[in-house]
Amino acid sequence: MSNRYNQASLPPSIEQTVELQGTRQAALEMGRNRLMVTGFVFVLLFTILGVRVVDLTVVREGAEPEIARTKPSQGLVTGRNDIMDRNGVLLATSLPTASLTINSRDFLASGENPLKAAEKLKTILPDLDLAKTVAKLKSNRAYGYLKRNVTPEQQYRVNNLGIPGLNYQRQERRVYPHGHLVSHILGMTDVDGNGIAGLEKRFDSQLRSQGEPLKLSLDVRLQAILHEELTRAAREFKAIGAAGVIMDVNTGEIISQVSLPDYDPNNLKTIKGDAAFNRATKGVYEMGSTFKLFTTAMALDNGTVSLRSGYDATKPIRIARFRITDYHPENRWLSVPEILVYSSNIGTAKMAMDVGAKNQQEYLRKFGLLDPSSVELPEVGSPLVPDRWRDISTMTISYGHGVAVSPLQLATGVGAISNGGIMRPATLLKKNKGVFVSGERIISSKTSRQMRQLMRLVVRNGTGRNADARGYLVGGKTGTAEKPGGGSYRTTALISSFVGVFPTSKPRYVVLAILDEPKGNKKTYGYATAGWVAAPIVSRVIERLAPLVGISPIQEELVPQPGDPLFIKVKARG
Amino acid sequence: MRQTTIILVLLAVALTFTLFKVKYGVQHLEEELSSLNRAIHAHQESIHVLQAEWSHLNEPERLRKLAAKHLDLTPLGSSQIGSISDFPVSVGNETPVDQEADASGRQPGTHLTSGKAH
Repeated sequence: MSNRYNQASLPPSIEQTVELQGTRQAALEMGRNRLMVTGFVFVLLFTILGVRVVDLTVVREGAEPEIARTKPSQGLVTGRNDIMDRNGVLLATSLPTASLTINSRDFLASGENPLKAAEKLKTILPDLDLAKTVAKLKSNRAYGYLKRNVTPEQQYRVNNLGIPGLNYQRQERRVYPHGHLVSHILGMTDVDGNGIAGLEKRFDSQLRSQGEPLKLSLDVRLQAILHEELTRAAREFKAIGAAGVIMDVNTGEIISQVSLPDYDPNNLKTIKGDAAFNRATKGVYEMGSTFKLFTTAMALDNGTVSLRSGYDATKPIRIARFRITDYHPENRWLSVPEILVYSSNIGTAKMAMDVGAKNQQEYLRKFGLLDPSSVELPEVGSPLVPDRWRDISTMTISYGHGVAVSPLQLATGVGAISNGGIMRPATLLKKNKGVFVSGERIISSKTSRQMRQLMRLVVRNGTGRNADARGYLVGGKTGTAEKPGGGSYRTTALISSFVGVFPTSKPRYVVLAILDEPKGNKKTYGYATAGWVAAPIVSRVIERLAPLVGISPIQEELVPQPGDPLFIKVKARG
Repeated sequence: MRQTTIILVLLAVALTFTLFKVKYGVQHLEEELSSLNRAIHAHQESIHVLQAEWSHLNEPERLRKLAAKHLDLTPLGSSQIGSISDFPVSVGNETPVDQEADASGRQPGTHLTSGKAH
């Protein structure tokens, strides 16, 4: 090719041609080789790239998601978990609020008048302290709180004032939508959101950790019913306080628990006097005759007595310097059912002596009356028990004097006696539906059945007639105790209580109502005893509660006939 | 040769154009996503506040007062609850003649009154 080219132009000499040919060929050869190497390198690189592209687009296609997904938006994170009732009703939650803060350096640098600024702020935030605010504005510090929890509307108006140096800090505030209805159980938190009482304190760390809301065993509807009826009765009988408990006897769940007076946990200024005191769990009281249920249960379970046994209740018992008498004296031989129905102290005391002090203590311990309740609250009262358990103690304790327990303990114990004889500790946390809650057997199921019959008898024929909610087979026991004071008992200061179980055919709930120092009125003929003031509360609560929990009333009841030990001659009521 | 070059150049331009278009599209979508996430968060916060308000407005005590003010209703009593057998049997398309020939042989309506009586 080069030859032909050369010939066409200038015919070079042979020598030249050879020489030229040699040099050019060498240069061409080198150029060609370099090109080859470079080309090869490029081809190699492009091949790698091509392979990689194929690898990424074709080969790996299966491993790569077809649609890129971002992490779904996280749920709202608050500093403290919610608390809910058993039906998911919100009882406590943390809401975002803003706090008004001041950078005093910026404020002073602007040259505004502190007093005028403070006065302007006070028109929007009325509970601001004028002198303190002026001091904060003048403090020359970079950070200070002016007002916690400012509403959005106040924020807007404060911004309109145009005062320099004001800032907002985002914070959280604990809010209790149901206010005073569930005050004692929930407890409270301080301004920094630390639990300082109630469940807020007991479950503080659990509520702080991000997770599920706390589900309580409470039912806010039943809480409202119990609260309303107790409030009404406390007002009617001018009681200084009241307490009530509704418990599921088959699980130990506390469905409702009220203590009066109470407070609004949203506004701690509403805590006046002993309003923060939880009478249902922290208060311990000598319960009076409701304890006869325990005495009768232990005597029946122990085999000390049968339903056909009885005791002579004609004369008061004299022991040491005491005299045990009956409030409703029958002055005759009483059968065991009659002792309970007429609430005879004499008969019960004699029964307890036959059971014996040691057995009595063992049973009371099993009923959970000698140790503090294990409920999940920091405010739990320890029962008051005599130092030395003498005969007189055995006697008085048999009818509820000499041992002081909390209302919750009483409800738990009565629940265990009536539910077939299984002790299930009281709890405020929801148990899953349908899960069997195991417990410790404390009395035989036969004794438990007899106790249910006896409790029904008390309501049908005895001191608890006012508790009879028609159709719902209420069983229970009244208890009127004199409050100790000044070294002896005060006959005018009473603790009147009624503990009821229903339906007695197959118990589901125990309802307890206690009034602290009720005063009788015209309607009760001046009586402030349990049968008059506390029993009607339980009747009304059960009548309103039963339709809500799906218990239908029964039309007819099997009444014991003459010859049955449970037969009681009904006297005309006076 | 020249044709190939032109085609390749055109292809490169087209690819570059597409690439940037996709890139900006993705950027735009990401912005939209984060703004949506912000909106979701804001809505969740309002839902949270509204839930608290809902619970507060449903406070049983308040509902009771409202019911007493606006409704002519009282709480359910045990005497108001009956079973289905307390009702007369006249249900469905049956004619009154059929009712009288009912298997129970009972007169319709008698049960309702007996239910009230106890």
